[in-house]
Amino acid sequence: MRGYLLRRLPSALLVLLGASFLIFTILRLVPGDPASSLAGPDADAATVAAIRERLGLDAPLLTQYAHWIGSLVTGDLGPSYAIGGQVSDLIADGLGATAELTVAALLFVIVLGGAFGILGATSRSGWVRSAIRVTTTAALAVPPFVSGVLLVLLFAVVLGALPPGGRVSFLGAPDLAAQYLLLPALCLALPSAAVLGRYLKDGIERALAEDYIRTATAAGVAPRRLLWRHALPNALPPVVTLLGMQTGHLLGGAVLVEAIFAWPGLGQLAEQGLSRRDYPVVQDLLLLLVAVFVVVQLLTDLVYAWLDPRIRWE
Amino acid sequence: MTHQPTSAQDLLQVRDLGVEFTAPDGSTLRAVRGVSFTLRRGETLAVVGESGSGKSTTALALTRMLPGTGRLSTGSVLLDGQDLAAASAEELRAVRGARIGMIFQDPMTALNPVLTVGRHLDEVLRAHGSREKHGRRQAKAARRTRAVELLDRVGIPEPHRRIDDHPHQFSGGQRQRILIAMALAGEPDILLADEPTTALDATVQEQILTLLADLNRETGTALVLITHNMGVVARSCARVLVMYGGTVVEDGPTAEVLTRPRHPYTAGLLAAVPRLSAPSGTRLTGIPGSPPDLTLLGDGCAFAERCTLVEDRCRTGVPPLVELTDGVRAACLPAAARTEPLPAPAPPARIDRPATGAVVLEADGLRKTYKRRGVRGRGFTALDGVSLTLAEGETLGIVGESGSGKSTLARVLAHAHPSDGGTVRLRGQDVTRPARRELHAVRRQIQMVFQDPYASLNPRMTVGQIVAEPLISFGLGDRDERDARVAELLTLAGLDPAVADRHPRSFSGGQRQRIGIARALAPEPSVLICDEPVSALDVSVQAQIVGLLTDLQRDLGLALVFIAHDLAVVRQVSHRIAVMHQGRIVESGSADDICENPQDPYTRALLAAAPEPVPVKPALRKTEVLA
Repeated sequence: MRGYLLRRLPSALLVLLGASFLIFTILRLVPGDPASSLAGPDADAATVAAIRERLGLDAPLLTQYAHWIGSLVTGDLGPSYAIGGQVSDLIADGLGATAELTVAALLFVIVLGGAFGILGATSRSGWVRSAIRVTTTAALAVPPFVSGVLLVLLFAVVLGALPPGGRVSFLGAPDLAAQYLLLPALCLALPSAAVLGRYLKDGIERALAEDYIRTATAAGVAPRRLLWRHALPNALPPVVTLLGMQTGHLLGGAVLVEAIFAWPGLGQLAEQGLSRRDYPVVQDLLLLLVAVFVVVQLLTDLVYAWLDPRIRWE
Repeated sequence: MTHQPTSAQDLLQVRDLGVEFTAPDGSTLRAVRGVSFTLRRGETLAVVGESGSGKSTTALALTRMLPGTGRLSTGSVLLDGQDLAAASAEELRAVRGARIGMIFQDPMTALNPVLTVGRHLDEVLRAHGSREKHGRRQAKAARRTRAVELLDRVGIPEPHRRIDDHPHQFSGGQRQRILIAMALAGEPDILLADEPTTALDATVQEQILTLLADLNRETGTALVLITHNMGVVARSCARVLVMYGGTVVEDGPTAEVLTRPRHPYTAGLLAAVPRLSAPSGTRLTGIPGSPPDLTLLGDGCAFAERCTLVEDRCRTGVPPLVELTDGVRAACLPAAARTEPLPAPAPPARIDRPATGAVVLEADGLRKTYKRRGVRGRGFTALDGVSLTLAEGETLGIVGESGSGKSTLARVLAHAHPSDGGTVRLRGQDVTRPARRELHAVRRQIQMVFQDPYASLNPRMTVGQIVAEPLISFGLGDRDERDARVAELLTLAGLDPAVADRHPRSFSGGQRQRIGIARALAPEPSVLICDEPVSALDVSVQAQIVGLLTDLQRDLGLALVFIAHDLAVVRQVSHRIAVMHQGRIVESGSADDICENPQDPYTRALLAAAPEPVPVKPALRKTEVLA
């Protein structure tokens, strides 16, 4: 396994390098200029030029790019342009909150998606299967900014059972923190849970129709064991790949959901950074997302090989 | 659940079994009708029939494992007096694996790819008891010991080491052995084997059949062997049940039924089976028509449409199964009226084959290596210096087991794959690596007929479009000329030209193969390469297709490459035979010489493993002679 990881490392680094180049280029192509937005609308050309020089924006683009990559390698990300403070501190502040939201959403995806998939494939009741089909279709069709508002309306405004937004640290009051986390995590998780549920349902149905299930049935294996020990392990590998890709969606979706639920995470930082053309913050943040995604993909491949003995790590 | 008295010897009594399916259009399909038979302890019973005869459905119905919409409509299945047709799900589960063990056709898909072999056996053992006797851990260790014993019994080498391997690490024959071990784990009274050797090579088939016979003798387990292969019946079972159109048409001792058939279908089937003893250049006898469509079956005898003895009364009611002579029952009204068995079929007729002409295709030292996935994998050598010649009007048979390189040779000759070395000459001209324009011309000269008549025709195209496709791609004729040519080709292949507007799905396997042949003939090739053209077809239809190919060769002077694993068919159609083994031609010569006087040990092994539809006395079984 270690050998496999070492062999995957160069391509992972290459992906990161390519992504950094794209991020850098695209940010420069977006209209607007950090210096003039910092100087304000009434500043004269000389002030703007001075700010440009201070930020190093007058240097050739290639130098700026090399400077950024250098800062990544040394680990000293430097100060932000507009928000204030060190970039590494800003990211560290938001990272905990976003990680909390994403991991909670991932758990919802696994539990809800698993339930949708298993019940959808095995329930004998047509009513249950229809209910699952309707629920998953709705979860897929309604975007988070609509479902989020609806969830707040129902649970916070009408029922008054859960807070409409904000975050409380798990370290102080875990029960209260969970209440604050529930709605944003659910809102973020619903579309991915629906996708996962549908794939899992198809996978289980396909596996249950395979010859080896007939073999096990003929051997007298009980129906419950047929599902959990024989069919499910065969349905899982493609679903794990899907889950890996959905993690990317969750990270991207977190930006939106954080805005709806006033969740103080990286999403809000990204939104501020973009609107104020704070290049270092946005660049580092986007690259961090890419890096997380690359690591998740690597983990996915490892889990896949672990689940399917025909695949090897070599 | 009802308990009814049965004779002490009778283990399984099936009475008036009926199975129905609901077709997608809502109509009812009666797959099995009024099947009755008895199985005694330790008996070996073969259920033989062609596709759609209901033999597999009957087997699945015994333990109520019918797929999809299948359901028992009538009858009872008494196992030691317990009616399985009325048993609860839990009672059935206790019977499956413990009293009736099952083995299925395809060992490649019948094992769960993510479970180890040990887990497979453990699942059966824990499903039937050996769980709570001692502590959990002891029970588990005991099951593992038993699993190793079982693997050893079915002939898996080093079972204690291989028990933790996964199915993909075993060969097809070994996987079938593992499935047999699973079926034996519950020490069942009945072993139900549904086409257990159909997916295997002849030499492996021989080993598996020997294993099943040994198990039957040593453990006293009754064996029900479902097969389409008359040779397997003759080799393994004392009694045989012949099925057609969902009904039993004949049943009795194998020695009697195979030598003196009473039902015209049994007789036709036996006549259609190619025999190794039939010399090259003889015509196989088929049964006209094709197996019945179960949705369209009327009240009469299912075989009436194809029967030579048919009378008016055959079409009005299903003939009852009546005892005609000692232990032989047949469901045929005309047969019931006569005292003697049907006359023996005439020996295969010789065909007038014109003398072969000049050499058309020549291959010299062909090599082909497939790269394994991954960088460091060593390649797999599919062709290792293969040389052959083929003349106008000649048929070259190529035989060998799976992996011997037969299909690779076909593809290299047809220029579907490039070779890695060697030369191919077409009418003396080197066409090994033709330029693009030249390749087009070569492909027009060399056409292929494929094995699977279901997968090799595009389901979205009409028959006319399929046959016209080569004409379009080679730019032959305008639209009207093409239509006329398609009609001509369909007639040539024995089809009604009016079928050009229909889609492949409305045709039977044999008819689809005719469409495939019409397509291959469209660009007027001089060489036709047939890769296992009849192995997916029923025996009664196989003879029709082989006959068609022989006629086409005579009329068009085609040079044929006939690739098959069945030596008997190959001998009958081929002038010469080349035997392939591990990418090499180990022996070649005239068809009769190869079959009567084989020189290479591998050819001898192939010939010895081919089961003939002739009952063998137990004392004369090949394996015992060898031992």
